[in-house]
Order: sequence, then structure tokens, then C-alpha cells
Amino acid sequence: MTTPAKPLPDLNDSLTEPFWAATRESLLVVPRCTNCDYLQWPPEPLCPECQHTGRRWVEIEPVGELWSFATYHQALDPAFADDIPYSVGLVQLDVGAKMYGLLLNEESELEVGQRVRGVFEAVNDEVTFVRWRIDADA
Amino acid sequence: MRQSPGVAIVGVGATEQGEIPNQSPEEIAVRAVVAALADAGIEKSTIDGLITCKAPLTTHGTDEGMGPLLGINPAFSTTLDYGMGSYSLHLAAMAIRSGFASTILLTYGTNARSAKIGFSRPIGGSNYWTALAGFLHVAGPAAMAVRRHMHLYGTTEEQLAWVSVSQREWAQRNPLAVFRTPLTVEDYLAMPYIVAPLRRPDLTVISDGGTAIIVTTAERANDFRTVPVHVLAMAQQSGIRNEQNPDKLMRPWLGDIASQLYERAGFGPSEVDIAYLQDGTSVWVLQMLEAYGFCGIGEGGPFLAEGHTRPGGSIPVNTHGGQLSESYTHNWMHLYEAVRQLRNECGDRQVPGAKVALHAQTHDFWKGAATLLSTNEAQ
Repeated sequence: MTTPAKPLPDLNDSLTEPFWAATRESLLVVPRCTNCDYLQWPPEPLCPECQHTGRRWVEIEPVGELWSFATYHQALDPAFADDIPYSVGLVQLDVGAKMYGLLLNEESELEVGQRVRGVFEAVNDEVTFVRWRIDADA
Repeated sequence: MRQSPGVAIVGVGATEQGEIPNQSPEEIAVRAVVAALADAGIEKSTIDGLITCKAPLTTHGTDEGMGPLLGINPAFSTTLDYGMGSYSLHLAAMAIRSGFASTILLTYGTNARSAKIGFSRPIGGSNYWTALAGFLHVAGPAAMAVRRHMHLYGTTEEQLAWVSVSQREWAQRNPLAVFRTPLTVEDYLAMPYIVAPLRRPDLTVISDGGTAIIVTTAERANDFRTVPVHVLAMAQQSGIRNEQNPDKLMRPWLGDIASQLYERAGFGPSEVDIAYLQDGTSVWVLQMLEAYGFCGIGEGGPFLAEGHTRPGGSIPVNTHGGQLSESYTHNWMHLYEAVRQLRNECGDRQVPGAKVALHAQTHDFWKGAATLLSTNEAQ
């Protein structure tokens, strides 16, 4: 039995396309409202604070704190079977929002509250994911 | 000052739980209805309101799907997508107090097990992003929530084990329960992780089953065959901004439900004898024990390990075994059990002298609801 392909983002989705354009350049960007400056994460079609539709994408430092994590010991998504065990983190970015992403450290190394830094990992010519790693320099 | 909704539960019915092959969710729900009508001692013609609940993750179970099987044209009928016990009950109270109907039937049926419904999908919000990270199934965010609790308060896996172990002890006294084999803390700790730190006993049973509840006005309640179980107070709170909330995992809005509920009831958790805390995962029980004031915030782990929720404990929790041991029926069987405990009908697992029950549920990271119930209207 072949392993099913892992999900990939829809690069034609105008709501998230700037995010993936930036990760290809190893940059992390998030949308802010052009009216009230609210940091919109996850991205929505309009501002959750003021319902304004204008947004600008701003580059942020890919650093934060590991808010929590979960380690998959069973392949609840068969596409990730070869990665078992793998840990998914919820990262509290220093700019304020929280972002989900795969963690590159072993489960035994991870602790809630650790400083983490984004790592840009290209899976093909078009898609680069942000993974997270314990920030040894922090 | 009590703000009583003035309604009471006068009939409950359930099917067997587990595997019910070759029956639709609607057929299963109707069998529960037949049992509830018999329990209340009424004919279906007495029903003038119907609130159905969809079978989770399906389009089954609408009022329009149930009407032809029940053969009734109630004045008031509607369907809740996530009705579950609390939301359907609360809507029934609102409809009754608004004069839409006087006696309302609540229905629920699922064939989730026989239909092999897949639960390995993103749960709880932010689905686009979580699917990309392999973050599927409610076990993922629940594992994050308990890991956070462990970090903040020092909660241990042994302490968490007591949620499942205690409920299995109750389930062993419940013939309807799917999982009745003994489970010890040692057994639990020897099991492999599914999503660490959660193991199989931390996650809901997936089963088929149906439940039906009949609600009427407090004034009419004595006209039925059963001892009425009065709704003393109800409360809800949403957290539907979901991922934008500062602390999605710990669900701080649970505390807002509790404070509204106790204020409306005019009493606090010390008056509660038994608690039904919806347990799609064990983590929800840990969180709700704290939020509803049975112990302090962060003290849920030691509180569980002291055995308070077990048979003979100070606050028996999920005395039917809950979703972790009895069946999947999303809080409906919690309500069924609460009513039957208050009516003193639970045999081996009856909690002696139980007068006030808390029934609380959550829709994972979206919202929650709670109800206080008693056979004593003036409690």
C-alpha cells in the first residue's frame, strides 16, 4: 500500500497566497488591517476587529514561545505515517498571534515555554513550509 | 434570587448502545422516542413540539426526516446541528416559556460506528492550517490542552488516568456500557500513546445509539407518570472567535458558564451531588471539574487522584461511564443518566440521596452549556 500524499496549500487562494510567496523567500509574513492595524491570524477575508477588507502583509521575526504541543504516535492522517512519532506545536509568536506547525525536535527534547524559531523547509519548487525548532541561541 | 426557567423533564428513553447495524440514525432515534413516551406515560399526540439533533458529521436526524417516521405534526419543530443534550434542552425551555409549545420531544440518534464515520479530520478550528501540519482529530488539540495544564500546574499522567479509571469503575455497574472490562491506573500507563500525552482510554467510544427526552412546563409536570426532574438553572457561553482568543486551549469561557449558572440557581457547587461532564476526551473532565468549582483552578489532577469522582466519592462524575466507557452519544446519555439518578432508578450504581445534578457540555473549542437539575423544584 502506498502512503497517500500529504496535504499541500492551495497557492491560488488569494487569501493566503502572499504567505506562501514569502515562505519561498524564507520570510514569515502576517496580515495586518489597513484600517485598525489588527494582526489577523489566522487570515480571514476581512478584519475580525473592524470588518474592514483592506490588509497589508508585514514581515515578522519567526520567533516565539512554544505554547503547547501534541505528539502523534499513531498516524491519524495516513499521509503522515512515515513521520510517526511527530510533534505539532502551537507557537506564541512574539508579535502576538499563535501559529500551528510541525516541530523538528524529538518529543523528549520539547518542553512547553521553550523559545522556538521558524525554519523554512521547501517540499517542492512552489511550497515552503514553516517548521519550528528549539532556539538554542535564545 | 432564583431565575428558574419553569420547565421539567418528564420522560427519558434510550436504545442499546454499541453496534446497531442496518438502522438509520432516524430509526434509532425513533426507538428511543418510543421508550421515552412509555416512560412519561403519554401518547405521541401529547407532543406539540419537536427538537431534533443531527447525527454528528452527517445530514441525518433533521425534523423533516423524523416527522414522517414519528407521524406527528407538532406546532413547533426545528433541528439543531450541534443540539446535543444541553442545547436542545435549553431551546425547549425557551420555546415552552415563549408559548410555542407545551410538551416538547427532543431526539438524537447516531449510527457513527456502523457507518464507520471518520473522525480523523481537523477538529476545533483553523482547519486549513492544522491539516497541513498533520494536526487531525480532537485528540490533537486535547493533547495540547492537557500538556499546557501539566506545564502550568504540574498535573501528571497518573492523575489524568483517574478520569478514565473512575468512569470505568462506574461503567462496570452499567449494563448499557460498551467498555466494562476493569481498568487500573497501571493498565492505563502501560498503554501506548495515541497523541501523547493521551492514550486510548482518554478518547470517546464511537458507538451507535439513540436518546429521547420529553420536556414540559413545571405546572404540567405532575400530570405525567414519572417523578418530574426540574430544570433549576441554565447557562451558555461561546468562545466562537476560536483561534483569535488569547487562550483557546484552556477554554476560560467555561468559568463564565459556571458563574452565570450558579448565580441563576442561587447556590454553588457545594450543593451539587452528582456531575455529568461531557467527555469527548478526558481533558474536558479535568477542565470542567475546575471551572465548575469542585476544586480550584489547577487542582484538578490531585482532586481526581484523591478519588472524589469515583463510586463513593464526594462528587460522583459520569456515573454511567460517560463517553469514555459507556457510549458515544454526545452528552445525551449524560442527561438520561442524570434524570434517572435523580429519580433513584440506577440500581447498583445509584448515588444514595442524590438531589442536585450538574449537566455540562462543550462543543470542543467553540462553546459550552450547562444545566442544574433536581426533583425538588424549590432546591
